[in-house]
Amino acid sequence: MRWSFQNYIMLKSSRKKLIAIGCSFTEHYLNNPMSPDFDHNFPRWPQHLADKLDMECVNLGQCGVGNKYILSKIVDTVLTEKNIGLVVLMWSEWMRQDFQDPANAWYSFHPHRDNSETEKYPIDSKSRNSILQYNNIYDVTMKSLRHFLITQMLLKDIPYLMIQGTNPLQNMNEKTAFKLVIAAMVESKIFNEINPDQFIGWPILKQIGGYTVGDILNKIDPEQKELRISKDDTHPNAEGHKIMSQEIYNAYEKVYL
Amino acid sequence: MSRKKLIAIGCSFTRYRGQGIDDIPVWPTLLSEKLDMECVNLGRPGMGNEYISAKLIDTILSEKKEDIGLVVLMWSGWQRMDFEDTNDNWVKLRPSPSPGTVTSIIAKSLPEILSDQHKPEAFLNIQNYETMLMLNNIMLKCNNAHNATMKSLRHFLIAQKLLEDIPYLMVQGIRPVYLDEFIERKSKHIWLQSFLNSKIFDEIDEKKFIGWPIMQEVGGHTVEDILNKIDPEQKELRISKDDTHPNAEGHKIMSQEIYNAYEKIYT
Repeated sequence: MRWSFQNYIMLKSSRKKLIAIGCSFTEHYLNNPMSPDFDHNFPRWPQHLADKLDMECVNLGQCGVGNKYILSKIVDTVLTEKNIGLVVLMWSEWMRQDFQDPANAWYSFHPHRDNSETEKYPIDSKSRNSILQYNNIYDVTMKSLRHFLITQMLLKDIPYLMIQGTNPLQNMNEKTAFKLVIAAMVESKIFNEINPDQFIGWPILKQIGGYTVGDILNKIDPEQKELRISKDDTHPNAEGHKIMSQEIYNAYEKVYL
Repeated sequence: MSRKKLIAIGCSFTRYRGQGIDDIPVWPTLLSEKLDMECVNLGRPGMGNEYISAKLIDTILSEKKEDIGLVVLMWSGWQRMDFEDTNDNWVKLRPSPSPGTVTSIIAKSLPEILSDQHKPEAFLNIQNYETMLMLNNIMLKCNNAHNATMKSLRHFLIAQKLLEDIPYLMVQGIRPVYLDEFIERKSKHIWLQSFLNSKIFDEIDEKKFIGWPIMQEVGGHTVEDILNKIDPEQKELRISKDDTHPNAEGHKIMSQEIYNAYEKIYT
């Protein structure tokens, strides 16, 4: 049989899909104002992983988004995709809030950091502090735990893996905040319902035996010089993404092969 | 043998706590009597759909499947935003397009929250009217009708999936978004299109969602619509002109409506 473009398309469409959902740790973006002179066009972990698994890569990562976006995309994906080989969710910072505009575009708001220069609807510090009283550490911890559990329930018949990408919360070094999050997590009924085989690094926080993608990279590169873009832009670089994909592949092998 | 449980989750249409009238028999009580089930009323005044979803998850985790006779979710206003503090204290944020309502949020919410045993700190710190106004305006833009609609559609679908093996019914209690008052005709048309064109729209099991697709404009109805059809002047089935929550008679009608749907599907 002669190899043709049509054969290629048929082969491509018959391959199972790797669906990757997350934030800037997942999206294949080409520009970042944090490092404007850096060439950001390198393969991200979803592409590496899809290549290893011989799957078609569907990268639904979007810079800046939080966990509401990720959960929403799962709901949309489960409904629309038919030929799923694996879903991988790389959870984002828990404080972020996500909203959808009438054109279905997503935009996110980070109440815990002053992003007013880049925010769609800039907000002053007083209002930002007010929002943080609603969107407090306990609230976002419980919301994220529920997102994890709902995802696990929705994906019960589909191969999936999860991992926490960025540090879940800022100010985690503050003793009181840290204590509150640990207590909220451990005391929640959801805590013991999460399947640790499919949540890489569960229970996320180092202090209770878990880890994030950031922790994986920091273990190899504690000074953040080898696996990050730069000192100012600590997103994983090309080498960092290779390590991330290998970590997820190892978990996939354990659970599904 | 112990009776099965009726789990009811919703807002003030499910558990009413108003100005001194705490004891009206609400629809969960009436329905549980009809069904000979134990009533577990998890309604909470002022809450939105985030709260309802959270309580549904708690219920699934804490109750044995075989003990649940029926779960009824009476969905709330789609633009309401719910936040949780420790110990199951929930606070609400209701972005409103009417500056008058923003004033009333400040005027009404504090005593209401204090008497409601909600933790007041979150509100007590927002005493500056301008800050409140800005917060309201930002949240109104962010949590616009489209965002709130998509979010609620996902809540409905998630609930449907989580309750696959448990008898359940859903219904929209209050009007979901205040289209007539707050959205121009052109925007309303766009909004309805996005509601109808959503992939989730066709996934909702209409047998178990009473009044689906909710909006009268597309052939659906809410609990409010049911009451207004019988009592268009809102004199017979509401607490009062100022407090349009259903009264005892209104709750009887609500429970009968849900019972009828239950009979069709489950008996």
